[in-house]
Amino acid sequence: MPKDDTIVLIRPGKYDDALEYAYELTDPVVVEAERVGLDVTELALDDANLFNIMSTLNEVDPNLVYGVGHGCASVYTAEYLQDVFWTPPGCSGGHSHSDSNLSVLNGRYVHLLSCLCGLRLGQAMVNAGASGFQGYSVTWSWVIDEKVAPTEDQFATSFFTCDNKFMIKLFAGQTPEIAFKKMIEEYNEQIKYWEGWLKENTDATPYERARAMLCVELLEIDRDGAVHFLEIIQPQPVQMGGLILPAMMFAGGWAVKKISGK
Amino acid sequence: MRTKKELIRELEKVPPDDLERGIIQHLGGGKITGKELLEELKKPETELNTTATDVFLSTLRKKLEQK
Repeated sequence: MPKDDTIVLIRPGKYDDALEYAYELTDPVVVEAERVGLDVTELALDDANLFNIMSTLNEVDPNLVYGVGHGCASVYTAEYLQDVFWTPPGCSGGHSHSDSNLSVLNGRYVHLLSCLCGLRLGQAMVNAGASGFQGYSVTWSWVIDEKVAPTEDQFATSFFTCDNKFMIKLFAGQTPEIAFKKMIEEYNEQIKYWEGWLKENTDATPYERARAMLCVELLEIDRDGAVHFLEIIQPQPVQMGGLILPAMMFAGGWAVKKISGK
Repeated sequence: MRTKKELIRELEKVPPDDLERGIIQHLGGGKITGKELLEELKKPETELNTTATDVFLSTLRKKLEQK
């Protein structure tokens, strides 16, 4: 049974610029987890590798797993694009490895800030026993201003503020459903901010205005691509005449409640 | 509400050196410069999408075209 109020944070940040941004701008999640007194284990930069992740999850036994990194529909990767979790063989888009590493997530809630994992991997995690999953079914993208450092970049910060909100609300004791709702509200607030900015800053440079326009568009794409898979709802057996038949025969497997940001 | 034309118009006003700078990052493994984005937005039709960047740009373009 995973330990309550225990979290493992996986935060690569060296492989490329995207991970550097993600590492710098998800720092508020670490700060908040520590501030509220969670039992925090952070696997950052070179420590965010497959061996450490698997051994730490087994040893620490957290009820929350937070992962940042590059991904696709069926694979989540850590530092240096090392595969960590993937859909089991046989799933659509299944990885060629024989083990998908998903069993280590049994009973744990997983949030992945990674591209496209909400398309297949998230549901596979819940099917494998994770208590829930929040991630994205789109290429999670953000606007950048390369003239400043990531931490000074107001465009990029706007996007990470939204995703960080989900974890911060969970840390505050909100349910995943409420935390998801608050995150979507934060996306809407940020979209409103950039729409207002464009109206008020008609004399801004094209460099800034183009970025602000893109903030509106990309925040909408990220928001609408947010997905949340809740608990497995076990189908009930079905009675037919004198026979009680397993529900799996009718349901085709476990049912997973899905909520999207759209 | 912004349209694709508005964004193209704004990007075309960005000085060449600045246009070469990154404008979008994503966690599918890539960075897109202003110049790449402008070229993509000017394409009239959706093309075959293979990489995460292609898929992303196609999504963005379709979204803007609908506005």
